[in-house]
Amino acid sequence: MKKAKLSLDWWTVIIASAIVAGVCLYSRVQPHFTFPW
Amino acid sequence: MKKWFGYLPGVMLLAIVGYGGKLIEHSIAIYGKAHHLTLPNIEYVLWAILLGLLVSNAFGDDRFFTVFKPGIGTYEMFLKIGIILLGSRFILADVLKLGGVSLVMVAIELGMAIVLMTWLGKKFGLPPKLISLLAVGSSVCGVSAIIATEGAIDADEKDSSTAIAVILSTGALALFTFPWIGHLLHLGNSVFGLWAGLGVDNTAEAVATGALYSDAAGKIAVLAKTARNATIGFIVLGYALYWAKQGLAKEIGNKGSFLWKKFPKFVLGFLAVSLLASMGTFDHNQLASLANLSRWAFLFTFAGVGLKTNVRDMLKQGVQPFIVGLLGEGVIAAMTLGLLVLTNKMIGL
Repeated sequence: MKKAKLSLDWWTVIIASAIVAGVCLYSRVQPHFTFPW
Repeated sequence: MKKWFGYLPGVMLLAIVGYGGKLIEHSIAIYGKAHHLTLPNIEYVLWAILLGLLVSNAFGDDRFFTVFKPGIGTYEMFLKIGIILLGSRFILADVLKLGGVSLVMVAIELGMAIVLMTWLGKKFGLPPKLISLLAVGSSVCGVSAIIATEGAIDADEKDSSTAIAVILSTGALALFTFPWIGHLLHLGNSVFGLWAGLGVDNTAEAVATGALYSDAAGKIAVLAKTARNATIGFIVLGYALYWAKQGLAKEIGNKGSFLWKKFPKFVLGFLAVSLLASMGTFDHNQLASLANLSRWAFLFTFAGVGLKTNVRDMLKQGVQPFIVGLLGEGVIAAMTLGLLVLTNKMIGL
């Protein structure tokens, strides 16, 4: 059976979602943290 | 695993060039302050692009540079991640309003691009499929639209690389001319942002052009360009059906699945994050973090814009397609600006 492969476009969405989730989770540990620029 | 390591040198180069641009901006500001000088405030966006251009045109043809190329190509991924994260700065009502204006403009622009590019292309004796690729590239979204259309209309790879070179070089030109014209005409951030998003064809250059004007204009350029990107499937489908009818491309089976396949999925990510922000999911610090992470992603993108622009490669494509591109893009950009100024006067943007 052919293995379904995710396109790069979907990977981009997955990585960005992980970043959003990471920011939300980390702010529970460090509520006043802001990622620097 | 080995494949992932292959990306590392280029990604590192993106980081060094991007951060280098940021450092130059910062150093100039500090120097001016220390010596009580009023120096022009040139944004990191331009420094990152210029540094990238310098590196790519000085070493781009050397053998050792090939090790960086796979990683440099990831700048598009950083661009899309940056756009999705920037969704947190938009409330859905703004997305719908400005996105709606953008979609109406895209429809007008598409009509203009097809008529103008076809006329100009015929006048300059360009191959018909190259004309189609130039029309798609100038109306929708540059390089990704050209690549998507190339497969759908069975175009020559040479036509496709010429169309890409034309779109990239007009985009590079827009980077320097659009902000200058914007300041000359005292355009507001909304009008300029919409103009950059609608008038500059490749997404990375459109975002950079907006950001060069101001942060607010950059944000709106991203929104306008994202709305424009969302139409890619329809335009490619239209051209694929046209060429299939001429017997010069394969038939399209299921049109719905064709549209879905060509739809840029990062647009969904952008809308989802914007929806979450509109629902008040993020607090003040989270919003600031997401905005800063988006700026870092764009920093890598701007470095990539410079690093992948090789002037010698572009000159190899011949002069005529560039003349068609320049004339066509110039007229389309002027008409889009006229429409935006008029719309702004009528309904306020």
